[in-house]
Amino acid sequence: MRLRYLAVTLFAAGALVCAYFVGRSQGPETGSERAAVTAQDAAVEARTPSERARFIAAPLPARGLPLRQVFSNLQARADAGDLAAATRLYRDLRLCGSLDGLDWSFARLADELLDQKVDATDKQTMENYKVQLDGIEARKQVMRKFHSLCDGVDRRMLDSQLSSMRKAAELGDDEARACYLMRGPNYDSRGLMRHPEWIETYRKSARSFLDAGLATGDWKVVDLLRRAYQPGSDNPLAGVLGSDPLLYYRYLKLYRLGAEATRVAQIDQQLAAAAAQIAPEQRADADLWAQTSFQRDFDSGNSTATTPDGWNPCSLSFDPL
Amino acid sequence: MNRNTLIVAILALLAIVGAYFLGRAEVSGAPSPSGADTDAERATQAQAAGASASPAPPPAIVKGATLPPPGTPLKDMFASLQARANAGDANAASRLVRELDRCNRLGDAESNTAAATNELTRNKTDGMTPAQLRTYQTLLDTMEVRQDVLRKNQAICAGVTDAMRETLVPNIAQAARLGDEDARSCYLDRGPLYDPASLLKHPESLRSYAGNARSMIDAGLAAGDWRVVDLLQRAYQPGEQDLLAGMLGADPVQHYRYLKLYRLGAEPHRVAKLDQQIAQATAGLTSAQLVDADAWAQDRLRGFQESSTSATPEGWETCAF
Repeated sequence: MRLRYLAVTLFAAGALVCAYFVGRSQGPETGSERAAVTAQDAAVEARTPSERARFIAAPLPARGLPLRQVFSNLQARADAGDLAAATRLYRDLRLCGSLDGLDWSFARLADELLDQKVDATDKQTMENYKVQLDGIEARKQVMRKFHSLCDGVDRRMLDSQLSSMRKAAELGDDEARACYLMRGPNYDSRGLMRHPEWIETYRKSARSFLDAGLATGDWKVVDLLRRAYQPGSDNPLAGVLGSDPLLYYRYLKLYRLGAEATRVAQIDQQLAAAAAQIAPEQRADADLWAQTSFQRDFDSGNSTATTPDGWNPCSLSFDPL
Repeated sequence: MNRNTLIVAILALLAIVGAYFLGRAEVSGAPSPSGADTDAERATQAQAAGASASPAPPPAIVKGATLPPPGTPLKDMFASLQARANAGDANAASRLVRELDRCNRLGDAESNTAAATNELTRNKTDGMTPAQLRTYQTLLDTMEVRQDVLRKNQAICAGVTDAMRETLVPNIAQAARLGDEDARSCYLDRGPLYDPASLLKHPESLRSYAGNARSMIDAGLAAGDWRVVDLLQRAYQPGEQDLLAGMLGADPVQHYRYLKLYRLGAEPHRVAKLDQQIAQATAGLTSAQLVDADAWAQDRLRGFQESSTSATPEGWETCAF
């Protein structure tokens, strides 16, 4: 009888171990990130629409407060649909994420300047040198403000840089949208090593951002599309969209319709090369599509002034402290 | 008795189900399987794709065999080079990386050459002085050479499929594993971000990077590769944002160590600036840590030939194939 119980116990233990490893092999559907997001969603969902409106209508936390103190508040407001909070959060996080690097650069510049051998007898040289020293002092003051903003910001907060920017893009921040579309998960390559799931999130969300940008007549999005569809493009957006000579022609044509006169000749040459890769009837369809979109959605600004040669979608503006 | 058996069976079943879900839940914290396998699969699939696209039979692998002559279309030699690289032929792996890189850059080269040609031919020669005309002719001749190079590259890259292109990063990793120093520095610095579009399709490349990078660092240090030392001192620097920094994590002691080693191998004209950086890097370190790191650096210096700064001049390109 004891032998039987022993056998049953061993069998049960074996079954438990097997079940455990089968479970491991199939992997979880949800990770810690989703749990955190779900918790936040639940907190926001718990509010009624009027509570949300009141929550968003309240003034943002004072600008000088440390980010660690206002992080949760800004994040909750962003989750509740507060664009201003979402924008402030991702921009401040970006600053705090690059603060160590800024410290290094400024310290190096200051050391180099102080080590310079200056001809003290030359009045102009001394004046220039004094201007540079004043510049260092001004930068030090700015850095002190940055530090008071960022001190105490931890890795968990910094790892939300990308998701914060995506949230701002969802709420209509067109700078955040352009940067997210352009860089995607590469925006925070350091964090990407710990969060490979960012790649899938980008794959799933990029198209809705493109649609939103086109619907609001955002030339930045048109420029990103023509770059992504351009043969040989290897940026993240190209990885989502794949190559397509017809769509390349379409968006290039739309971009051309909104171009300043000084850039037209160059774009027309690109258009001629793109047209050679598609059938004449495809070209006619694409021309019609571009003309219709241009008249319907792009009634302000022009493509080339919004996206001058060499523009960087991720050189973001920053609210002064 | 029957009732007891039923209760025991139900309890056992519940325990098994519980163990299953416990196993699933723990996967999120478990180390991933070696990413090298996923890259190898990709390379093998592409090899198969290349072989099926080519009428030639699967190549016999002979290590150390002659490489195809320069100018051979990549589509004709891809399967052979890939098979040889997979079998451990370092020369074939290095050649394949350079050919793939050439084709990966072709789109940019075409755009840049077209833009430069347009810019040049827009100039009006009326009213130019004889000296200006001679200069202009020289510029036209240079452009002709550039276009000739472009045509040759287009011929080499004609017919290269997306499946072949997407093997660039795994092949850089393979060449690096086989001792190609250029490939090693490129892979360590950029990893899968060197081809962002492919990363979107193959997020498993991140796991491969995490699996490969440590052993490549060890191999580079053992081979006295200053490029690896430079990459390490940068990656450990607080605030560094790149992929290698994400994998290693900021570490002021390690940063100081590698910076010190780099400094010991520097040319005299770069020493002063490096000493300034070292002075900054010592902040926050204990004297015991400094003594230990100095001794470590002095000891490791024996494994390095030539000078650190000539091997990695300021602004050196990590992916110069």
